Amino acid sequence: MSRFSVLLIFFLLFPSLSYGEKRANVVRDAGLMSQPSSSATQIMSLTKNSQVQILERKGGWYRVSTDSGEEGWLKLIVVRYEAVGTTRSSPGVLSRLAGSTGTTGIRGMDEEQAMEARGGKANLSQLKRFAASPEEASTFARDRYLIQRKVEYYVP
Amino acid sequence: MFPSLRLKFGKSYLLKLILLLAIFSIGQVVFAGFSIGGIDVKGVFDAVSKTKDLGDKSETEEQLIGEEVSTILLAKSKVLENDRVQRYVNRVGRWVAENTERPELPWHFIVLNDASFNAYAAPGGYVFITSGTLLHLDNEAELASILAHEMAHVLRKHYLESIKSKAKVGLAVDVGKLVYGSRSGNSGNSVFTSQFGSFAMTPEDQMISAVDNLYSKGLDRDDEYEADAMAMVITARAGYDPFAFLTVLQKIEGSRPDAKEWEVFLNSHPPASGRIDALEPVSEQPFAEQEGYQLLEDRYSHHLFDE
Repeated sequence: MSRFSVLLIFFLLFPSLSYGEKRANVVRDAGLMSQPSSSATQIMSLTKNSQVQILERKGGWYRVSTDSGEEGWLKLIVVRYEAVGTTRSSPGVLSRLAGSTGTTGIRGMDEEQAMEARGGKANLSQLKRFAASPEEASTFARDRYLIQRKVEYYVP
Repeated sequence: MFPSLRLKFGKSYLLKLILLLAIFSIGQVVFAGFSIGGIDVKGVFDAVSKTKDLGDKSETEEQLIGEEVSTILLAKSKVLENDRVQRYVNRVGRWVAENTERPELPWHFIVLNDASFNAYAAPGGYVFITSGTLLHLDNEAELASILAHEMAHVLRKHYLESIKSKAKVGLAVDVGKLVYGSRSGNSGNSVFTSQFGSFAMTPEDQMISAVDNLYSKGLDRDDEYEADAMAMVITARAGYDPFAFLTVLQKIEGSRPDAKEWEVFLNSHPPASGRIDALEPVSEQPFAEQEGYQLLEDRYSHHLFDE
């Protein structure tokens, strides 16, 4: 088996995400842990504003590598991304999402809007046809093993 | 005290007249909202009594206001013409709804054709999300978590209470009547008069103005923080990774502040960094450490991008 297919299978099997090259900051002093757990051994302490490279996520933890080459787990909550432009939001993708190449022209905001407000109610009832039933929702969940669980709201 | 009053009125027609006028003006004040400007007073009372007959008035008022707010919001937007995406978002949303305390609400999810990042809700269960938002998300769990956040606003009636206070109606006129007046297309100029002042707006304009104001300024910070905490829990109940909500907030936090697509959202929400910090205690609850949560990246991209 080639090394590539081994790697491919590795990534397919693991339920975590690989991030490629994602740079991030640490917003406060935080421990770099050997395992994704607060009770694991601490490899080192990262100071506020340290930069890290995100490698993968597991629940509330990121596996990261530091500029000095250390690797370990960091709490997601202390990580902030560098401001980056977005990749998917090009107009081309948007119109593909819209299912049509030309969108309707720029609407005048005055009389058209007033007419729309009256017609808006008709639009609303048309949109109701997309609503799913509870049964459809349950099937939809079951199809991909979305398992319901009981969780109470957090009360501080 | 009373015998002396009776004596007074018995003696003076003028006093009787003044008393009658006083009662009449008080009556004017009480019914001020719809006595001037051509609004059908009987019609409004009919609407109110019908509303009461249906049982839980507060719930029906919520639906009435929600429909009106949604109608106004839709007037300013384009709906995404993609049945597949609409149905997909509705199934995700409905599944999330089954995991809230009000699954019986007529939840509706509407995807707007809008490149900007934004999502909001109207009272009674109308949840709006832009196609621009969908393009920034990586998986179904992130979508579910945003819908859960908006649904939390509906569950806690954040939008409902805010609209009611912003519509600034006169003393005895509640918003149900305002909405009724707006719908019946009454076009009196000077509608609301009371001893507290004159509102020179039609009911329709008043609602539109309230909606404009609320959805551009946004809800207050406490409401957002509350909805954030609830969103993580609801997301987990539905079997999705609750940290997906945090990854969404991280994306918002890492966005370019000057980018046009983020403008409306950033102006109507508290800073994302603060929201992330506020969620730390929630993220440390036992539920957040459980295994078996789903992200469903492939189902997400399949419904949005595959033919």
